[in-house]
Amino acid sequence: MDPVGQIRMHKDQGRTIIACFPLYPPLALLHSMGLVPIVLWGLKGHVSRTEAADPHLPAYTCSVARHLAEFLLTDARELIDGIFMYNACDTLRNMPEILADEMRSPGRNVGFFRMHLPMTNRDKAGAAEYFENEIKALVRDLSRHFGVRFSPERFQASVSLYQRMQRLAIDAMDRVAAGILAFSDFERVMQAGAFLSVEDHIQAIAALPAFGEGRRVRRPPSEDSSIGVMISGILPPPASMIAAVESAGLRIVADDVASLYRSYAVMPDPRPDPGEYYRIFYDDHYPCPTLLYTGDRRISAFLSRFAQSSARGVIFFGEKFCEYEYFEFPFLKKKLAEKGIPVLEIDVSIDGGRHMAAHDSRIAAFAEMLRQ
Amino acid sequence: MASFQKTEAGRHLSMVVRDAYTRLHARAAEGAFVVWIAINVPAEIFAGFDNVVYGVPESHAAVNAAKGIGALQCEKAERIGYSMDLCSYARIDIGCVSDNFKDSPTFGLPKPHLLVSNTNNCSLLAKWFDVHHREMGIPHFIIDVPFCYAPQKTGDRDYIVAQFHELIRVIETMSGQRCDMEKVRQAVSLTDEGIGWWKRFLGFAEHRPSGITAFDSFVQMAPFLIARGTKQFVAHYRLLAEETARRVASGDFPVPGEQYRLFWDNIAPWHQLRDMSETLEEKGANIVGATYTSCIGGIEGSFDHFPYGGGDPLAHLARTQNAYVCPHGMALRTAAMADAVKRLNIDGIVFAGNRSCKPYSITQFGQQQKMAGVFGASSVMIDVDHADVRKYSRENTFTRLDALIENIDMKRRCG
Repeated sequence: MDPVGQIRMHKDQGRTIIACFPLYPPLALLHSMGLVPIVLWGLKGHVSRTEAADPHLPAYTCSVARHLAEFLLTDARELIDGIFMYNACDTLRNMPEILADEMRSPGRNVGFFRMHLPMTNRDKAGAAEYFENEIKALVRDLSRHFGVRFSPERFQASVSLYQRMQRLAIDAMDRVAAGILAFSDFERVMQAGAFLSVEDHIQAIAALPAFGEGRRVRRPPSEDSSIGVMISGILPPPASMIAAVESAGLRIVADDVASLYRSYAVMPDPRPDPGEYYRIFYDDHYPCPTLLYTGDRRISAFLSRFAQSSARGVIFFGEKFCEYEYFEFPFLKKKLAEKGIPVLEIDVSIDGGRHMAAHDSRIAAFAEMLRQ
Repeated sequence: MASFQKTEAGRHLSMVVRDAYTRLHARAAEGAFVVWIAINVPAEIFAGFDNVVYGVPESHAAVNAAKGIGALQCEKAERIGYSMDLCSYARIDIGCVSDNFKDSPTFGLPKPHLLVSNTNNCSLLAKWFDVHHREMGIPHFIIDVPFCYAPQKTGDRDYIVAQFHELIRVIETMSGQRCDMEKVRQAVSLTDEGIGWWKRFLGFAEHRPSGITAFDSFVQMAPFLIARGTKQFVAHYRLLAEETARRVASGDFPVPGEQYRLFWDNIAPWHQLRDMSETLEEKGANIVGATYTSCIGGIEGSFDHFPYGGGDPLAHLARTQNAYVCPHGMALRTAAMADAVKRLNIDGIVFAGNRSCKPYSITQFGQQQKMAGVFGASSVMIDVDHADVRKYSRENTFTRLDALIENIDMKRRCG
């Protein structure tokens, strides 16, 4: 996947690009207003250095933020028409101001759009009304900046498209679990989706080998003796780690990854009112450590996802410096241990995937333990 | 070293802290409803109840760090799986709870009935309190404070007020007590009065040489964390301001040979206060002010006192929720810092990049550039951790501070 090439293609078609900070932006709303929303994660394979970002961010900033900054300050600098973010994390909430000055140039007017997602207990007075006003303000700001209009019909059509993508993604992951699609292929097409229009993303998922009738099905390398594992983290592991998992005789049969399952697991049916739709969207969202109000549902959702899979162990791929995840790992591990479920935790740093020797050994040892 | 001699206010501070923890334990033992709060949860609300007391894990963690046992407590949390990359306050607290406050200098905190965190300083407070929520089975109330890039919006303020009302309802239901808003109003008035004295105390930094050091102000923050809304709070800061006034009038300064006036940006390095203060004094340098202590009692973008006008106390508390540096953006941070740099005649700024506080630290490179570009201020970036001494390098820190002093000298030579 070439994110820059992909964005250029959108631009060549005369499309307006709005770059969204992770984690769960209101993509269907942006799409319905004629914009092409892209989500700035999964850049690890594309951005190899962070020379432009480093003067602006401390070294203990997570790779998601550093790569995002690098991408916006270099390759994507002249291609982005707007930036959207919400209060997904303490790092990201500070980023717009860090980037705005640097991205400013004569003749360019990159719009910054924000909304505040209430992180409080959901039944609390005022949260629903407050949030619906935030969505209204976002629609107003987008309309004013881009000269576009909101249409309830187009919005519902966009939601339907994203639901179609979601159903295909769930179907594809089921095929991964069944062993007829390699996780690496699935993950690649899902990560690519961050830079595709939803229409193209639907086509890309549908074109996966496991969906094509009469096509040769690509099977994972160790199909018969492989042991299922579930993976968790903000991002899927780098390709070299996926390869290490597979070559150790393990097979990823379920994921609890923010950029994968957590992103598409739950999508409400279309509604004409975007405020109401997104209130339900975020209220019912699959639990994530960054959605603070989902904390009470998080453990049970995680355990349920594991129980519904054929996984026999869990591998946490911790994104270095993502404290949201790291605050939860010990309790999750404790709950898994109570059920006798083996766990491996691997830290993935900004150069994750390049220094694999230690990770290889740990993954191999974990596989050996599962085999026993 | 003048600033570490026990002054009258210093002795009073020890008494305030001792009293606060003693009273907390005693009242909890007598059946008071106990709340653990994040530092910026408005404690004045609890004054509205007859028998609600509160403990502040962050403040307790800072006491541990200042007493030199921060790393010991951190290691306990690390042994049960908490990453060393997590905030050291959180690790100290989780470590303390893991062995029932065995090594705590304050005999720990009494077991809570309710946890109240907020998202204004950092959302991770909610994750940290969730650790206790899950392990202890104690309800957890999150106050959600929208981050602001410009002065707080009315809609945001109303949203925060609604949550304060909800918090009161939750405590009423859980504790069986009624909240008396008149008592809350009195508590807010007392805090406001005490803050007036606090600002007066900080104002002695304008004197040349400065009447205070930032290290004094770090230490003297404690009542703000554990005794807000009380007469003792007012009495303490009045004593502090008046004693400092007398010392300034009599020519008693903490750094009499002050040649370099510095300004600190970030949380205090609790484990290094004495060493840093003394070593800087030997160099003729005084950190005379800090964003960390100056923001108390203001609103976002200004260190000036934001007075309570006697209206709805919850509206006033909500209006000040974005004051504490982390809950607002770089433009506002820069505006407040620029004003302080000008007012205090600052020669150089020490940006203390803090591995345990990303929300405070992440904008510092940008701020450093702005302060240099717009105001021509000399500055340096050092690496600290507010409570984990293992992440601190004395040599690196003073090499950089020396470089800052050399830079100031060079600028002076060049006119």
